[in-house]
Amino acid sequence: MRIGRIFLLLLIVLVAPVQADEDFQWQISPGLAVWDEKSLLAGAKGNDAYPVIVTLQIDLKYRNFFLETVRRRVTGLFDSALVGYRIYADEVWQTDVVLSSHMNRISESGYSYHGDTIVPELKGIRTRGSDSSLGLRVQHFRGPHHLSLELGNDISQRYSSYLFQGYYSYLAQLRNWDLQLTAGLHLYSGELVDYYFGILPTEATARRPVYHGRSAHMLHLGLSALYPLNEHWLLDLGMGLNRYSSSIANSPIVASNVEALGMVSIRYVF
Amino acid sequence: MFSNGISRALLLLASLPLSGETAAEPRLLTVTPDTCVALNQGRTCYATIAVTWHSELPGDYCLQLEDQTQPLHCWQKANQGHWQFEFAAEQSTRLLLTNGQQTLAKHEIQVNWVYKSQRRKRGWRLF
Repeated sequence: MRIGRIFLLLLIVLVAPVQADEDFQWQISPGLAVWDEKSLLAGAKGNDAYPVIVTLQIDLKYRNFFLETVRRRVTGLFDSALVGYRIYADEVWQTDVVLSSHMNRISESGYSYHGDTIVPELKGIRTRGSDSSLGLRVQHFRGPHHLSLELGNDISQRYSSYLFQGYYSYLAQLRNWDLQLTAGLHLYSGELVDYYFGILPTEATARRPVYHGRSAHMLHLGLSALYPLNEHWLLDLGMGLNRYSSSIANSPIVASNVEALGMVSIRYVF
Repeated sequence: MFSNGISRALLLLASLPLSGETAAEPRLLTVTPDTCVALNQGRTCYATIAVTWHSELPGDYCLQLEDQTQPLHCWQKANQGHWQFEFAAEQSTRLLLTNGQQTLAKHEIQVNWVYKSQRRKRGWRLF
């Protein structure tokens, strides 16, 4: 909680002198997506429950305050929305204080997008709630390059510790296509890993031993493509691969150290 | 009776050649597609465009984009033609069918976009 208080203090001190240069801006983009995955969670049923999902991308900005949905994330809107305050922005740098959720809720049914059917491998586990992370995000934009570094601290008291996310993206324009190649690194605290992937004695079974998580990392590779079908409709493609370190991969509720996901969606831009 | 008279007059007007047209001018200039959509305003839009034309009388014809000096393609002693070309432009432009210095037909290729301003790239996650 001490880091959380430091961020709150930073928020109060840093945002005060910022001058607003723009008023209200908005962008809403609903869509439909088909998706499939190789899930991280043992026994998770992939897209069985929801092979087609409704997606909603929202970008709202009022002066230095903003709300944005993270692109292509499968989870529900409230899990993926991010609110923030822009501390500093120029042509190259952008620094925001952000409040967001990074970790999905895990229950006996898997992640929320796996539906309500109880997965035998997860039956009897406690529900791990999604987090609320208050953090600082620094982004660097230069030509086709984009670097994003975010350090957050859980204020939901799920695990009350830190999470770091770093992404590098390269954007290539191929005729009317936007192609984005992304590499990422996540660092998870031991407390986070223990909360989401640890097994308490009360959850343990003969096939699911007690497990204590330690700090871990995840490497990400992603490729996304955006194509304008007409002035209002976009074709949006994405595929990604995550590779987890042993502290997460060895958890009894984890299937393997690799998860993969692919999506094809069309969405409307107002 | 009065409405019949108006109808006949309108039909007669519709059958009259437009200003500057003659019987020898091309009757058909088909451009497919005639709209190109880019992600952002100001970004070069690309499309493979097919053009078909025909005229009643054979002659020397050229296809040309209005903002370019060089023709895309020319035909000699032809009364029809088909041409496919790679279109790349940041704004709408007109395709002309010319006979020497005379423009016989024109068709606008519209460049549209989804986002008016340059989108700023954001971090993304699939999970």
